[in-house]
Amino acid sequence: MRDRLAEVSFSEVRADAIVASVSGEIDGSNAAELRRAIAERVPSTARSLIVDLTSTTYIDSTGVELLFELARRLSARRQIFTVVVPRSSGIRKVLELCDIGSVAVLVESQGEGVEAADAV
Amino acid sequence: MVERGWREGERPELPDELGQDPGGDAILGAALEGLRRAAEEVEVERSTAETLQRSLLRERLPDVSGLRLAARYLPGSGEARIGGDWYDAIPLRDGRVALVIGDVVGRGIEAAARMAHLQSAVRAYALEGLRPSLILERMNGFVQELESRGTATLLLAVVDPDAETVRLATAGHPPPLVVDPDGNTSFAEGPSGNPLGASLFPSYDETVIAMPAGSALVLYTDGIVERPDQSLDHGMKILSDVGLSLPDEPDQACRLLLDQLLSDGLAHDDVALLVARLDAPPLTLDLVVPADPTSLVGVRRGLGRWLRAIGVGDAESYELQVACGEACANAIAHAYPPGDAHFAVRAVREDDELLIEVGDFGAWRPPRGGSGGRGLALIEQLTDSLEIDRGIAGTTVRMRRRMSGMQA
Repeated sequence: MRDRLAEVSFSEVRADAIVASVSGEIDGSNAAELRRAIAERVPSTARSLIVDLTSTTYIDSTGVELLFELARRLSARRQIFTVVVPRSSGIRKVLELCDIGSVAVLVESQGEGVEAADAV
Repeated sequence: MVERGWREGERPELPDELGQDPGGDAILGAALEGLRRAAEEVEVERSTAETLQRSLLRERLPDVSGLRLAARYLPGSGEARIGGDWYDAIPLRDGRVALVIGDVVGRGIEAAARMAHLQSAVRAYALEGLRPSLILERMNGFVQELESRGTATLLLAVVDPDAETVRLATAGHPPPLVVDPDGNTSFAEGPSGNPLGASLFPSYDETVIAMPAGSALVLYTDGIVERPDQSLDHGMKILSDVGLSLPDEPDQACRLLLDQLLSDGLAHDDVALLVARLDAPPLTLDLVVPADPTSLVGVRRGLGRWLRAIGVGDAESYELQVACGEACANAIAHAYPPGDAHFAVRAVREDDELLIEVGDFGAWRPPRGGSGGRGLALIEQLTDSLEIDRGIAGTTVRMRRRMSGMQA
């Protein structure tokens, strides 16, 4: 799925772990749609969702809000929420300032994300 | 007067010497009537083709930060001379734009329809983010698949306003004219591949040329350089000469090029023309944009380009783009309904400090939780000072940040 700014693709690393990889930019013009698109792809039977922001080049507070909303939804269903952001990523500072770590497991790679989900 | 067997009003108007024999008259009359109808049909086809052609071409070219664009399409003056020439400008992700110019071989409605197929396919491939040479390769396959076979020439020029470069690939199309910031002209002769549809396994190469701020790029179809009685080189020489005094404004540049190159004001063949001018980043950034979330990307591209030009590094630039974006999001959320509201963004450098102002024309309302509160908190964390000036006419958010790595 894609719009002018961002593209999201889904994969299942395992039957119960959904990975949503977002490339491009997330802002007020596409954040709400993106949240819907991701939320729709996570069945209540999934054990965990990994949002991979490795190729995301811009995120603002509406994008951060999207992650918080996903976190609320997942936590209500006792699903594990992991966000992948490499340390070198330009968007990492904004995510840290907004304390995304308080609602999601913050990791540096997809592989680490799968391990983290297993450890919980 | 010779009685010719026609009642008044029915008799076709024929020169007398042709009308001696009534039988011959009738045949001739029918033949002329047929010719008249054929001429009418040609005219109908011509105007249908022109309507189709025009409806397919973007009248309003996309807004691309740092790049001004203008384009023209002119039908040819001959019979049914609507030849499927087209231009396009496709904004890509990350601020680049794909400029397209093409020429479908053929005439009339069929050519216009084939052009429509090609135009859509180019857009689709370009939006997939394929590189220009690969787009041409795919387009060649696409042309082979069309029911009405035939060739087409196509040129792609992907302009990167940030890197100040153009990536070019061409399928048998004449080279674009480049006008550098000093006004010198040259043709960007790259490796030229076969026209689309001319071979089964073509290979296309691409070249990257520098396009420093202030440069212009002129894309055109051969109708503008071709004369029935003169060589193509002659036409290109004239084009290059006119380019030496190209007006800064692309729209005026198009007008001058058409005026000077089509001396009789008419194109023999049809003509498509696209002029792009890359602007130097201004000393002060001044933007006024619609109060709509889709404006956010243009503002941050404009700000990002401006910050780069004054020597601000990527990490700091990113943080300022976020801070400014949050202020813009507030202005959009508080815009006075209904519709047509705008807001203004201004950025200036004051010694080693940057000032960014975002002004709207609506009343400030305090953000109520959610991302509004988070946005304001982000601005505070990413800048050194934040002032919110709630005036009667509108609200201005003023952000300052001391710059560390800025060039003197």
